[in-house]
Amino acid sequence: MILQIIVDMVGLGATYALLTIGIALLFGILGLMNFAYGEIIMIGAFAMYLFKDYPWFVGVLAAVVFAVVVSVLTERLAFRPLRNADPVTLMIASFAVSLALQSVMRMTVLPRTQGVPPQPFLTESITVFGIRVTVLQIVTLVLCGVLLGGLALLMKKTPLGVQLRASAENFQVAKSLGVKGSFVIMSAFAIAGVMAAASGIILVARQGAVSAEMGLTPLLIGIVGAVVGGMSNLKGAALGGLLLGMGTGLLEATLPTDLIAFRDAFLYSAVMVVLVIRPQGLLSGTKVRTS
Amino acid sequence: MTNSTRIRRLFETPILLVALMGLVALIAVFGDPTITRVTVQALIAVVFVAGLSLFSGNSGVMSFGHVGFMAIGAYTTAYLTIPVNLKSSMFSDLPEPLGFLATIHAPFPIAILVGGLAAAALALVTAPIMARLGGLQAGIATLALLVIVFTVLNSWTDVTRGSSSMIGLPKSTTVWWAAGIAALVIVIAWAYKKSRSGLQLQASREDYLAATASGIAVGRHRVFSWVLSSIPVGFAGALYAGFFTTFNSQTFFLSLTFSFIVMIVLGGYLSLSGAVIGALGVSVLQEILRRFQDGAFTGGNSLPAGIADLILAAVLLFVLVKAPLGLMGTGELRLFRKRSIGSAS
Amino acid sequence: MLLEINELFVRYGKSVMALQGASLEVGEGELVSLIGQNGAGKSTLLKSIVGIAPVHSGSITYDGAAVTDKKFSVIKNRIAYVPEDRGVFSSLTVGENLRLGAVSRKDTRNIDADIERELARFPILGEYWSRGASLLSGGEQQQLAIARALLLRPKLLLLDEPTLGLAPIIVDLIFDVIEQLRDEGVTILLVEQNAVRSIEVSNRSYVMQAPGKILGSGNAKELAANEAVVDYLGFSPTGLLGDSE
Repeated sequence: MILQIIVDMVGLGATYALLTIGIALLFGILGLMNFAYGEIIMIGAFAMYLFKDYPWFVGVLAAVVFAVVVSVLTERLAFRPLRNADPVTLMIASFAVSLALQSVMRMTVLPRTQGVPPQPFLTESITVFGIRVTVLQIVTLVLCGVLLGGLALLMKKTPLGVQLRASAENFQVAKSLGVKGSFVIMSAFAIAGVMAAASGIILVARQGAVSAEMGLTPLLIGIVGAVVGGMSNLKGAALGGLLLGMGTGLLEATLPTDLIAFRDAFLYSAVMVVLVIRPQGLLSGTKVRTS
Repeated sequence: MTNSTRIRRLFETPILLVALMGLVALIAVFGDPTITRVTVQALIAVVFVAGLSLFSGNSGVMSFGHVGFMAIGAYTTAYLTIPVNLKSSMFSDLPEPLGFLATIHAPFPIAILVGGLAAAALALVTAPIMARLGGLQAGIATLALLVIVFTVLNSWTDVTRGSSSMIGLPKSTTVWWAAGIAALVIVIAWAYKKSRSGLQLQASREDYLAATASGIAVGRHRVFSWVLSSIPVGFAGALYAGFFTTFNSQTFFLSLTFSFIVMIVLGGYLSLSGAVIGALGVSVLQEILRRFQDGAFTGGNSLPAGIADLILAAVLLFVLVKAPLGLMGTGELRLFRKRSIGSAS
Repeated sequence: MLLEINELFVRYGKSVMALQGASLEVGEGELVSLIGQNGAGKSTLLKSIVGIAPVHSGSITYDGAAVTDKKFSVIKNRIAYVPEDRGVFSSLTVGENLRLGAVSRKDTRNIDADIERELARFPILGEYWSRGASLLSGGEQQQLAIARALLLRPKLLLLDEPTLGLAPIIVDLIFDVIEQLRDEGVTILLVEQNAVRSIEVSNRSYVMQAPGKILGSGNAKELAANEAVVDYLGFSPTGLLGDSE
């Protein structure tokens, strides 16, 4: 029984870690708290809906393409003109982008919630050591693992990764050395798009539905995880997301039912406390100016 | 500068703005029901945005959470003005210590006041957090506050009815209530802006380090303006409840927050006149956009739902890029600019 | 003249005029020092060359081109800037930091050779190559910052207080390196509080007083003859003839 809970916790933890990194990536490099990230996830999920009658990997491919394209587009159209604006202006702008994307989807292809029947193979389950594990859970873990691992590899081993990490730490100095700012930023948005697509794919499989508003909850999760784990430190953010997911899973399994609904209230109170005590996040090592 | 000029400078803007409120009230009184509705809505928006600017305009810290205070004002008004016999069936499962909510009743003016004070209570609780944070961290904290309030309102269904509508509120908000409170809030916001605390807070907005270095207790002023600003915003909630007579937990969340942000950004978040003008202008704009979406200008063919939001979002982005300080920038409304020879102006 | 600065005014925000009419020039191959007390405006001057500080009025010309022009690229003109806080990326390894110095270069074959050369100049960097740059001491970080700047193969090297807060033995090392670079033909504009050593190694020095006013300039002899300079410095540079005469 306990093992089952642990398996569920880890699955949720991985999912949340993915969400958190997507948020932390753009924050670290641009100081952008991207409200519209939830909508990129939604668009990835929408691709799954669009191709629901095709083999699963077609939807997956489409999700990545859609999400990356839209993510990069938001950079070019909305965020590039605001390149040097202060973080709050950027946050407000991302708020507007979020609403714009939601509206467009609502106006065109997603006026109502649409069901997405789960791919049959995802609902199959296998039993390992007495624990029931669905294929979906396995896929979630694999997807998250591959993406997080791939990102770590990108960051450590590729020239782009070095430039991204340098830019995340000190964009101005990086640029003064010759790092191409625009390219770095576009890459960050593209990578965030891939992460968002994966999150969208997983969410659709879990929820079985897509709607224009579905991006809000994952966005808020990502924000909490990032704030608590470490806004600009990717490792800290991933860890924060993991802990958040596992903690949420634990709370869901152990909290008396009438308190579960207040889970979010607890979480966000924790966010406020962390912001005051350690604004750079619990797991981050860097210092952040608060005022 | 002569004394009379100084006095004129000090009172010009609030007088102009209050007169504007009077004008709007007259339009509401003599217009048809639709115009009345739109203008009262606009006046309520003024109350909110002027209250918000009391904090955000002076401190430079944008708050995403003030709608939470508005919710408190609205719910307080609901508990106080819904007829008692209706409440007993609506709130049949109130937990023990909150049983009084089903039996209390008060006239509208009291409800407004209590609504503001209740909002202030929440502001007080969260004040220590706002004292220490600035910039983006503060923005995120206020967002967290919004989510907390929403979660509690949405989930504590026994007390708040959650996402089921609050009904049975009497329609107590008249034009004069809305305009009167709007005028009052304008005066309060202006008074604070010109007060010593307000001026010191504005100094921290320009240069936080310089301000702290010269001994300004930025945290304390932030706290004061944070709590003070929650009261008019609570009033706005009360007025909202008394006008629309129904709402639920979903009412006071991101959508409304976005509307108000458009208002304060478009008008100019550093200027009180900007906040007022933004509130009035965007309220009208939203009504027009709603009509547009319903087909008023396209021969009765309604447009896909969401186009009003899209246009609003596009407007906001445009303003952020081209004129981040909004229509009024840092200036205030003045009658005319006089330049007389020999006096410093 | 490679670098010419004329009547430069720099204003931060609305009220603080950090530089009030500073003028200086640096000839190709020269080692020029800018010395003065804390807060005189020396760093601001360097920052305005690389576009970090807002120029209010006055001109900065490099190789004939206006630096304040939007099209002016600090990198393409091979101007390397080592800031006061060194700008070392602590989340990267020493090796990654160093390689970033060459990120704008297209001649990949020569980069490795250049890296070898810098490692020879600063052996400590080779020891810490694959370890986090945050593990380096202040002096070692300074060496990393300078080595990284040199990977640009700069025509003009701007050093902002490179020996600030460093142990005397490292200060010696840094000044040795500066002299080496001067001999190799790199043009250097050195901002320093360490007046003695700076005047010693430089062709010419400028003495700056807050807010950004040049009190006097010239080589050691000329500075010694300038009463205001001697007053401000608190000593006479007469003894510092060194080998730059």
